[in-house]
Amino acid sequence: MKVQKAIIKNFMPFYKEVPVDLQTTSDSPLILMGGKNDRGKTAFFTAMRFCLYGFEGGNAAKSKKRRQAINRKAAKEGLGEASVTLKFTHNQNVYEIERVIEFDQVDDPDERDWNSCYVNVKKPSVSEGKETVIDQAPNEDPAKKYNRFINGILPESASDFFFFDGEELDRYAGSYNDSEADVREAIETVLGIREIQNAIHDLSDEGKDYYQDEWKDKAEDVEELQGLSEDISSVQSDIEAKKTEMNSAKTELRKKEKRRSQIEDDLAEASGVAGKQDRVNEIKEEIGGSGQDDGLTHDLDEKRGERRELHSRLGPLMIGIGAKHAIDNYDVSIVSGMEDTIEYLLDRDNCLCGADIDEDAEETLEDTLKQIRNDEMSTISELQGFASDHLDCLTSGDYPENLNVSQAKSEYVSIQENIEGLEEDISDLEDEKETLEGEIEEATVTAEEAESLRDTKETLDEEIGGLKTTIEDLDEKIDELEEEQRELEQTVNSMEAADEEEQRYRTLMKLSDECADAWEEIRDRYVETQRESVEKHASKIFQELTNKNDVYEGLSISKDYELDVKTISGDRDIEEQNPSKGARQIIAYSFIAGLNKFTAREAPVVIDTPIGRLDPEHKENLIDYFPNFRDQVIILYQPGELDEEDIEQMGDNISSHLEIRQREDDPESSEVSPIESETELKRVLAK
Amino acid sequence: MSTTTSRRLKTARFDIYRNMVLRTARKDDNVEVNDKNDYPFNTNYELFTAGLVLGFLRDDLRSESEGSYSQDFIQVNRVGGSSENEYREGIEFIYKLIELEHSDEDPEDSELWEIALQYADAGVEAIDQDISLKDEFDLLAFIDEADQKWEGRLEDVLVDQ
Repeated sequence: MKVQKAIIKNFMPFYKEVPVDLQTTSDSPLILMGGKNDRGKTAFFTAMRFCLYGFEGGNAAKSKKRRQAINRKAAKEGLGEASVTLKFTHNQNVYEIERVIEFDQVDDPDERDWNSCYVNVKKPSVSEGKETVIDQAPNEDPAKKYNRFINGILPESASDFFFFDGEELDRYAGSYNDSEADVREAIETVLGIREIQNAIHDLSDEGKDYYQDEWKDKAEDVEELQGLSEDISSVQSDIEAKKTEMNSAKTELRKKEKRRSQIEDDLAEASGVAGKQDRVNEIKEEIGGSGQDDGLTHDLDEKRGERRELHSRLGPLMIGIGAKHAIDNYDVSIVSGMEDTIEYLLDRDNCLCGADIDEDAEETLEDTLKQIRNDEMSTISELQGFASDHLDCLTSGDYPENLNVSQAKSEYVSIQENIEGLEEDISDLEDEKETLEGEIEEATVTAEEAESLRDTKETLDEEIGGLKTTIEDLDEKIDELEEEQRELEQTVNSMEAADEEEQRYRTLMKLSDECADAWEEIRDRYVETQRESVEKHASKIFQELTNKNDVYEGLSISKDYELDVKTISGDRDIEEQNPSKGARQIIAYSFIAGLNKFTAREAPVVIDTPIGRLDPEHKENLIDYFPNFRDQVIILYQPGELDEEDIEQMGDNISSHLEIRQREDDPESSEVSPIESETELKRVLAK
Repeated sequence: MSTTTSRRLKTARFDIYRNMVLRTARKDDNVEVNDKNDYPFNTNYELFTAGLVLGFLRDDLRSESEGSYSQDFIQVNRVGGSSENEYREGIEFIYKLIELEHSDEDPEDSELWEIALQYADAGVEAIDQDISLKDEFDLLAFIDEADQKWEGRLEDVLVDQ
């Protein structure tokens, strides 16, 4: 961590925003911030710690500190927020930590109080602006995510070796009793020993306990596994049995469905046969009639009978034609005409031709007349008599009156047409009947058989329904058993590793022990190495800082990081040596310097009131060492601690020299500004 | 005019009568009558009358029938029963024509009746042939033939008198 900038807003004496540029260079690692008492040096120091870690203590203590941290004027004006923002680099990333206290406006600043307190961490976005790395919800305490973040940079437990008050350093120069366990922990954290300790603890205690518990579980699992395997076998047997039963049922079902399908086909055919039979019966009735006086056959017989009647009358009909001819075409009056002529001639003396009619001629005429009258007339007349008799009989018979030959002919034609129509109809119907009867004959199912088949189908329907239900039930049961098997197998699979797991955990337990042992060994060596290194460096620094080089030869650091001083007459613990407060301070500085040299943490050193009780020689030595402390050292001093010579001594190692002072426009508030003139410098340094 | 009491209907083609006359067929034990309508005539005299007029119109005599008559049916005066009927009167009409046609020969009644019987057999044969040929009784054809031939036949008989 290398701090670039601090922005303090409405925090303690700092009213509104007070930016402080804290950038340093590797050649100029120092930032001096001078200020008289009650100007805000400690407030600045507090602000930095507050930003990183919040306030220490229980809830009540924290609450009080938050309340007191709110700038009074800001509270009265209701500015709403007090905050401290630190912008820093760490592992080549730039971060901004902003910790905020929200408050409401109060008329009496003594009544000020906070509403919420939160922290967020941002870093520059790849595109523009900033992106939030951690956004803690208000009043979320402890801030787990934030703590994990800050512990990766500078754990609070180690922060005392980076943020410290020079006047309180002596607590590190002595032995640590039980209440100083946090000091020991802090030292170990700084040197990275804490992590090793934690790893050893995790491995030997928690890790081993965990693996042992797991191993026990797995050992039980192995036993359970055997039982489960037997259960699986049993379930598989049940499944097989059910499947066999279901297959049998399915086979039976298929058979019955096939049989039913056949029956349905037969019934369909029978249904068709019935229809055909009905049609055949219709045809028979149409042809044969339902009684004695209907039906086409009856009609045909009737017509044929009528025709036969006319057939039988062929002779009379043909004779009738002749008779009519004889009557119509032979006029007896022709004969009477000749008779009249002869009679006329007999009354004359002369013939029409003029010839005389003598006695011979008259006799001839008389003979002729006699012949005409006796032979032809009687013959034709007699014939016409027969003809007339015949015609009378022809028209007065059983037939309707006035039935002449032409009428008989017409009637015959009509009868013949009727007969032909009837014969055709009968023939068509007979053909249809024959076809249907043929189809009926070819049909395999009679009506009686159909009735039996219907009964059979009904029975089959019931049986099929029963089989389907059975199959469904079996299917469901099989599903349940298979699900049970799957679950058992899953359990077995998860446990099958139990054997391997059991072996594995046994191995891990052993490894945990071995790793713990190895780490202990590493730790011991590391601690010793670190101790030696820290001791050596601290001794060196002590030698540089102390004003009693003739007495002190260095520092000795025990494995518990308790300090002893090496004197020319031997090692002594500090209590026994009982150096002055200033000397203790130097011892502490040396120790801290040693720790910082070998720390695994990258962080600035911020020292409030660095000089404290140091005498000029110690001070000079310390000032000489400051640039070597860390690559960023922020020194908050009060007037009298440093003078112009000290400033000059630090020379180019100073990146910036700032003053924390009252604001001219608001004496109750403080500001931070660079010292840019000798006058200002003198003012800051003046007691 | 000779009386009809001595004249009996006869035929030398009783086989045809058996096939065409219902009553004749029924009387023959060797014949099974299935359908009466298969027999155009109920009685022998009906067929005889038709054959007589057809034979007369065609002036077709079956001379071989003479002396071969195997069956006589009925006397003319009993034809159709006691009352007058078209068959008896028809036969008489044809007989009269035969008599007129042969009047210059002064034949006996039996000779004239013999002619009538021959006319009848010839006509019966013709009817039978026609049915066999056409496989049906074509009444209209016979009627039409009568229509066509009566005028000429009457002239033959009466005008030549």
